[in-house]
Amino acid sequence: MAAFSQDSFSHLVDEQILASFEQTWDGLGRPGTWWTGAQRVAIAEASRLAMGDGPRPIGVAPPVLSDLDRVDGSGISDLALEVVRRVTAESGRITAIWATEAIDLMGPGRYVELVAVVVLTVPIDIFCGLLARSHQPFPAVIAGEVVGGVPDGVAGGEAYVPWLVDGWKGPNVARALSYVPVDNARRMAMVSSMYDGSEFFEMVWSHRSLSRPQIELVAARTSALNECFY
Amino acid sequence: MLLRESSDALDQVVDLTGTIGGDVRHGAGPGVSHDGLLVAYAEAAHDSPEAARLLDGQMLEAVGPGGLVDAAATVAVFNGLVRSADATGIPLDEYVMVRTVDEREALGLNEFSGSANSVAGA
Repeated sequence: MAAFSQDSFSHLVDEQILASFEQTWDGLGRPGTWWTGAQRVAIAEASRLAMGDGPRPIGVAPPVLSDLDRVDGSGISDLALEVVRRVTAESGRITAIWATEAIDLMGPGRYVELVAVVVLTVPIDIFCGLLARSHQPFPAVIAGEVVGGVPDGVAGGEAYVPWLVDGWKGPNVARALSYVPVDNARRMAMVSSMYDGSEFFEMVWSHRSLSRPQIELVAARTSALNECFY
Repeated sequence: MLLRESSDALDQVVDLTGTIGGDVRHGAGPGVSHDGLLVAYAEAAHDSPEAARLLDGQMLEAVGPGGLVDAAATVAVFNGLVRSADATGIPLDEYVMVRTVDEREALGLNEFSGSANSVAGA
């Protein structure tokens, strides 16, 4: 049974959007590249809580990452919880120093996959909330070992994380999480379904009810409210 | 950049200050249809889904159910994209960097903390 059926929404939602949500939910509880299914769901649960809590008030110091427990058992460590909180609710406050320390402590694979789980689930929760649909319960955990493995062609560069460099053509945002290709592919499928379709380079869109300038206006205001430079 | 270029393609005039919280003004030409409402929707959605839903009636009247779903999808997916960009520290793409010098300066975007990943190398 589909998690995101059309009739669970009060307005008609593009089938490609529903398919990308379904794909994300299907992969959420499965063993990932660097986190188990149980840990991926724990990351998503922590992210959902962090969205509800919002950012810490200005002046409240976040914990020192190196002081936090970093042993991930069946769930996730205090370190991972703090990284989830920062990425989910305070991403505009992330600095190169903070990210470098987090990546050093967690390893690039776990860091990138944690970010991927957050950025795959946050849009779904927001979309559901905006359309007055309840948050989707998280999927059942599927047991199994992490897959592991570093993809060919990745290296450190201008970003905090290693990413695809060999022969890359395209916007940087599309390769931001390329260290974990499976989740990055899910993310870009979601972006395509909810934003540009296959018409990114077309300035006049016919595949949406809103015109492209209307969509870009909403996008630009959303990015500015999040103080996102990119 | 995409807002400006897509507006140009439709002969619409957009005041980019609307994207950073300024007035949405049209200057001498036709602006983006329902721009004020769409900006208000994005701002309300940033506050809470409940705040955004208070605008559902106006949105449905102005842009229809498909437009409302498009706006919700755009807010949602860009909340993922900004977190992707911030958490990974990706620099602005070079072709965008070159073509947005004036806008970034005028709108104060270079003051955003994430600009350190791009501006330092520009």
